[in-house]
Amino acid sequence: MKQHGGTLTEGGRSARSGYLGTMAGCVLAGLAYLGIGLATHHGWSGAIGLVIMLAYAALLTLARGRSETIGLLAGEVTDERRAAISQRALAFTANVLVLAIAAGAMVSLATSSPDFRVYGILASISAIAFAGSLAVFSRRG
Amino acid sequence: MINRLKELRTAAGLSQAALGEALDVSRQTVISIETGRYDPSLKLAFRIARTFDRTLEEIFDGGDAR
Repeated sequence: MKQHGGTLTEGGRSARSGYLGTMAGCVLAGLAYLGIGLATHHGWSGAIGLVIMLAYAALLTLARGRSETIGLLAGEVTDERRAAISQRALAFTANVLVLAIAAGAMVSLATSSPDFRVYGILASISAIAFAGSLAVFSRRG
Repeated sequence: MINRLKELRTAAGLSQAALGEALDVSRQTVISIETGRYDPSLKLAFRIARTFDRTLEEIFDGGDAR
């Protein structure tokens, strides 16, 4: 049997860089919560936000080897199948978000809520991102 | 797509984890390919074929797929 070495795989990325990126994201988000809390004189709620994000990072670290789902949440997109799963999950999440934005826009319009402006901006960003990515990816083939 | 990966792996005396390591994919990916729940990309299929010194046709059967 022949061996194929290496830590990078087609369609995936190195387990270490994905994991470290996710952990860095958790810590940065926690620090952002803390900073916003301190800046708005809600230091305790900011500290709680930081603790929650650190606890989430610790949970991912401890359980990533036991479950593929948690491994994916921890950023371990290590091969092409996991990359495909991650992309399908992202596409599904985007569909849910678009439906939520559309529903929110309709409800806020029907109730004359000022939230309509926020929903409108989100819908515009979504439409531009979708059309733009279609144009770019179709050119790339 | 039907494949003979499990047959070739067991004949080579390899565990799913060992084959995953040799192919640079996760054990779950090996399981998914063996059970036919996931069809590998051409790149991975060629890597599998090279690993067992077989041709693609000897491992994978796409049936009447067009």
